[in-house]
Formats: sequence, structure tokens, C-alpha cells
Amino acid sequence: MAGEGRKIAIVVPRYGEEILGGAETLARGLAENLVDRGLEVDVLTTCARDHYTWQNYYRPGSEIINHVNVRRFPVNQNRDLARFLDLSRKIATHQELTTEEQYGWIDEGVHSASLYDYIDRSGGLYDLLIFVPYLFGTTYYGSTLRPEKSIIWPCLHDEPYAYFEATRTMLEECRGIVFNSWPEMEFAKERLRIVNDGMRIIGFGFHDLTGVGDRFRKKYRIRERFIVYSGRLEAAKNLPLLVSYFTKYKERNQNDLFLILMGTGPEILPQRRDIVQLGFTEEQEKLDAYAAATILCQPSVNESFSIVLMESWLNEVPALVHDLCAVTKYHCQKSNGGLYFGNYEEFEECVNLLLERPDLRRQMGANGRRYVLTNYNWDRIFGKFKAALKVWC
Amino acid sequence: MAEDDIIEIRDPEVDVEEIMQRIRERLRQRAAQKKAEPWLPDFGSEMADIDPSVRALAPKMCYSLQQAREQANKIWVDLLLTETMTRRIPFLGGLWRRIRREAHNLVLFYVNILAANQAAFNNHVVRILSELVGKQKQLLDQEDALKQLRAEIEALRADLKELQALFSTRPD
Repeated sequence: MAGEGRKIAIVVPRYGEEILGGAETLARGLAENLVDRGLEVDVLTTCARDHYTWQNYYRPGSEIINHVNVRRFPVNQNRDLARFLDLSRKIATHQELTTEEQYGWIDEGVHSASLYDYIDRSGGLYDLLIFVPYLFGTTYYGSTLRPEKSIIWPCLHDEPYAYFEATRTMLEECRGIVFNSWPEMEFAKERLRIVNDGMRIIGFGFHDLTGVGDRFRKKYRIRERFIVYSGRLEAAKNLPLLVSYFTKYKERNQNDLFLILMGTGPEILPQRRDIVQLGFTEEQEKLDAYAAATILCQPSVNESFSIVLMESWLNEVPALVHDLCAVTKYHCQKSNGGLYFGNYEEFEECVNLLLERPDLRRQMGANGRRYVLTNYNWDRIFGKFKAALKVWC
Repeated sequence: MAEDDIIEIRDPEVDVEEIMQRIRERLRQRAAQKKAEPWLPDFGSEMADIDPSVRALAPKMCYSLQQAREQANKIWVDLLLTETMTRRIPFLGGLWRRIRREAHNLVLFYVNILAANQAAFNNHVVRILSELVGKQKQLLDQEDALKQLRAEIEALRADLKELQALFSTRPD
């Protein structure tokens, strides 16, 4: 059997088909595909659905979601929210936190005493405990209970939390670390100076899912060419930059280009005819939008992988990413499937080049698709995972 | 230890890094050109000021060009609905207002398509005019150079005449 009888727990703070975060999607995809390939997998998660309130929403206990056994544990409801927000504000305004404050921030985040109790008592049942991602209490504290069996799948980016003392301790004391891409590992090794013998690059797998562009255009009556953005509508994803560049672009270039935004979030955007907000979109509709799009723009500089980039490439859409995001730029360079901009002038030049050259668009889109199918198919990902298992277990 | 085992997609026709280099080189050249020739118009909404020497030579033309630049894109029409007495009629007043608004919006939709085309045309015309005005500066410089060359030729001719006179009067 491919899984060689291993039993694995994936520990993630939120889990479910309606949870759309990148790390959560990764955890779900990993769990489902490991089960499909014969491994015994339990997902250990909380009852929370919302990552702002961390209110218990789901019922505690076990349930099966897409063949995966999911065990839910209630979130502790005794956090000091005022302290958490105060420390979060300090982090957001780039103030340096003392080590005590760093741990304070983690303490007031999401925790589940019953989850920790389960890991402590039943952790021995599992060959490995994989914690996804790094930035939550469940990972920081859960992984300390069985460090010799704990693998952290951190989804790291260059952000203040990555420099916390607690992050270093956790990443150095666990059995291994899984990175989504080479630049993410380079960041951990070169910038954070993390030392761990069990580091591996695995990434995320994709099935060949494509959309129907005409269906999207028909539904939304869009005939114009458009840039598509998919993700949370928030400053952390650099969306305001994309909107301001797009607005300036339209002032300087009289053409039919639209900007279509998929996703929800707190960002308030200008009301313009050429900026369309679709809000939450179903999975198939998202794929249809990619298939219809002229360009995908991923302006975020905080990515450890970018699922959006891969999904759009599967639909043969050329990408435009930010020059300062080492990961998305790396994908574009390795695939020859996208361009990158570091300022407005470059954004404008790239957009105009892609608009004027449909042949280049097609070729870059096709390159992107080949890149995803070659590197990030589940067979290859599973092969890497199996090789890593041999080292860890 | 983990290594980068990613399989690169090599394409003889598309090299992203080479494309980016070309884009960046083009932008660098454009920026350098702007610095070296400040009188040249910058295309789009950020057109540079006209060179003072050209302005002094043809003030009316420069004024008109400035006006054209400012007005080129000011042709978009916004919704403008004045209140009428019908708003006081219960139910029907509101309905009429809504129908009126939608009708205006429909007209605006087509008018602004036309406006977009006209704005594009205007921008092209303004760019050509700006370039022509920019050329004025070059012409002025060339005229100065020409005057200098003429003066030099005159001086050389005078020298030549003197030499000829000197040779013709010298005994063999």
C-alpha cells in the first residue's frame, strides 16, 4: 500500500469545505489526497469557523468530510481580547514587542484545552502530527506536546510574527518543516536563520480543474477584456495598490479593460463602472472567471505559495505579480507564465504588452499550465511526501 | 537537506526575465530621455510643461495647446437630474423619478462610449500637437546653430578674400 500503514494527524485551527483560507485549503487538500492514497489521516481542529471571533460554531466531536475523519474540539472562550487587539495594533504599527509580549499575543489567540489534552493523551497513536500553518496558538502550543513527532507546515512569509522568538523555538524544536516553495525555505534559512535537519519542500497539489470562460461572460454580460483578482479584499493582500494602479492606468489609457474582484473582505473600494466586485464566488464560477480573464493579477507580497496563481494558470491565464514577492516572482520565472511589476510604470507596461500581444498571452498561459501540471500534480506531491516520511519516521 | 527540484518550463519563444529586462530598459531610456529633453511632451495625463523659449516665440499656440491638453478628457457626462414637481405625487412621483433616472443612465451609457472614443481621438491629436511644439525647440536650436555656421562661413570667406588679395599682389 502506498501509505505503508502510517497514521497521520493534521492539526489546523479551522477545517471545512466553506473555509477558504490558503492554509486551510492546503490542509484539506492534503488530508483528502493522503486518504485517497491509503494513508490513515485524522484532522484535529476546532469548532470555530470565523478567524476573527474564534466563536465555536461547529459541534464538537467526530464527523467524516470527504472520506476524512475530522475531530473537532471547542475553542477556549477565556481570551483577553483587549490585550490581543492592543498587541496586534503594536505589531501592525511596527513597534517592537518584548518576548513576553510576543508570547502574550500567542496566549490571547486561538487555543483549545481539549485539543491539547487529546494530543497529550492520544498523540502516541499517530506516526506524525502535521501542524498547519504556524501563526496560531494551536500550532505553537500543540507542537510542544509531541515535538519529536511534530511537523510544521508553516506557510511562512516575511511578516513580524515570523521573527517572534516563539516561532524560532517552535521551528527549531520540531521534527521537521515543510515548505511550499524554495523561496519560502530560503527565507526561513537565510533571514530567520532557522536550523532544522528535517526541512523539506513539498508544495501543494492540484487536480486539472478548468472553467468555461463563455459561461462567465454570459452570466455577467462582460464582453470587455479584464484583469481578475481572487482573494480576500484587504490591505494585507495589497489590493489597494492594485486598485490605485488600475485607476491610474485607466486615466492614462483609454481602453475597454475591466478589473474584476472575487472574494470578500473589509476593503472599501471605489464605485466605478470598470471595477466589478463579485463577492464570494462558488468554486466552479471562480474557475469560469479565470478561463474568461485576460490577465490574473496577484499583487500580494505575502505569499508562501499562491493557490490562486496555480488555479489561474491551469486555465491558461498569464499572471502579473508583485516584484517584491519572492515566491510568486519565482513561480513566474520558473514557468515563463507571468510578468512582475515593482512600480506603476512597470505595471502599465506589462498590462499593455499583454493586451497588445494575444500570442504572448496564450503562450504564457500555456507555459503556466504546463508548470502546474508538471510540478504540482498530486502524484508528484505525494511522491515527495512519501520520501519525506522516510526521513521523519 | 531539501533542494530546489522544481522543473522549469523552458520556452524558446517566451523568456519572462528577458521580457522584463526589455521593459525595464525601455522605461530607463524613457526616463533618461525625459531628463535630457525636458521640453518633450510626456504622453498621457502627465504632459510636461512647454519649454519657455518656445512659449516666448509662439505664445498663442502654446496657450491653445495647454487648453487642449486640459480639455481633452473633459468630455465625460455625469448624471444630472433636476427635481421636478412630479416628485410630490405619491407613489407615481417616485416611480416616474426612477424611470427617468434609468432612462438618463441608458443615454449616458451610450454617450460615454462615444465620449471614450472622442477622448482617445483627442488624446492622439494632443500628443501630435505636443510633439510638434516640442519640435519647435529643436528648430530654434537648429536655427541658432545655423546662424553660427553662417557667421563662420562669412568669416572664412573674408579670410579667403584677404588671402587671395595677398597672393595676387605678391610679385613672383
